[in-house]
Amino acid sequence: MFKKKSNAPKLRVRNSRKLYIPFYLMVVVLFGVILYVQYVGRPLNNVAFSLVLVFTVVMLLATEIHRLGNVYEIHDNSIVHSNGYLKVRSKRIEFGALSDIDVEQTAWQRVFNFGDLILFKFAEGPTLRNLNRPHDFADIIEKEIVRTRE
Amino acid sequence: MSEEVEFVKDEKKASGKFRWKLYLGLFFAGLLLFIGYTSFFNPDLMGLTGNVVGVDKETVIEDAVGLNARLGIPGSLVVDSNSDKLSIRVSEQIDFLIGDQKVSLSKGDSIVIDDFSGRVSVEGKTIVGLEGRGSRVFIDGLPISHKSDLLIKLSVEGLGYSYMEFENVYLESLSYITSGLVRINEDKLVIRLDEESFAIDRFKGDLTISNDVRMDGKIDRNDVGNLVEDSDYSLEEELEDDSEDEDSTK
Repeated sequence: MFKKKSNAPKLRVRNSRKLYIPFYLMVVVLFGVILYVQYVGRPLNNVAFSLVLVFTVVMLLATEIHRLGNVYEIHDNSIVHSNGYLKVRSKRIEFGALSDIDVEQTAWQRVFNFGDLILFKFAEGPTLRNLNRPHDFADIIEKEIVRTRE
Repeated sequence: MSEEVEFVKDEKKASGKFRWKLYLGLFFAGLLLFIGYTSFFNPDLMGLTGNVVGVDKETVIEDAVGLNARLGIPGSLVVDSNSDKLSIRVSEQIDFLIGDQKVSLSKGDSIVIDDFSGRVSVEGKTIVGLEGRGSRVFIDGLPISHKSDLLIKLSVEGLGYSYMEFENVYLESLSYITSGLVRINEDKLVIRLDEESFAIDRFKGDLTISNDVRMDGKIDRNDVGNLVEDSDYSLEEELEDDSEDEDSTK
């Protein structure tokens, strides 16, 4: 009989894809230019078209691979940040050790509602970067801190 | 005595991140400029220009021989290519869509389109469909004004014509049963067709359709063999005629 893994995370998140919007925009602009060239009936250089295709594929793959490099997991008593691809470094932060949480957002991040979470262990601790809806994530961690203290 | 401690910010990582973003930005800008330059200023750059939608195909015939032909009009003909100039003399009244404006053409009017690119479907003496673009359009020698620098969109259906000429057009293939005379390589080979197949795969040159079809340009050397094979009977007949002539002179 299979049992549910005891160390299965309650929540597992990665970097927000909103982080890659500038790269997606580059691809959209390139395809927009190609469509414009076709619309006005101008010839399109085959090499240029191939380069755009290669650029698009590389960009999509690179952003997805970059995203795989960071995982944030909320467990019963801790938050785990795993970083790396082949060699993975997992950092476990006990909820009981956390004293404070800061949400940091640049103007760009505020527009798209993603940002960084800075965890304090009475001094500035690890930073969880580029999380989608960081305030909601901070609320979840806060609830977990309160729960573990009770 | 207090010791002075100097903190040196590790900027190596930050500058590395900035550097690849700079390279990416430069590559992106370069790609945009490359598309713009090759599409609007120098389409022949590196001889690599093609068209993704298949209009501007590879039009260089490397091993070419001259072709001059006068043939019958095909039942139907589709020209999907580019031409330096397309000239049409209209044989009946029709509305021609040029850009956003509808231009009414009467019998005898002429329309000339520079740098035509598009598709023309012909059935006998009627253009059943014309869809394409051109850089400049003239009606009876007068230019049609166009607001922007973009190519002018052209469209017409069911246009009767008395004369049509494509200058420097590329045909991927042309095949139909016809009669007429085909002269290859400055009359070194002359083929007379009598309701026989005329089939070529690649032609570049002038194509005129009026009371007959006239072609003056170049074809792939490999097509010559096919033309000869298709018209064996005529050749034999000519050879027999020639030998008879020789016998009678002896």
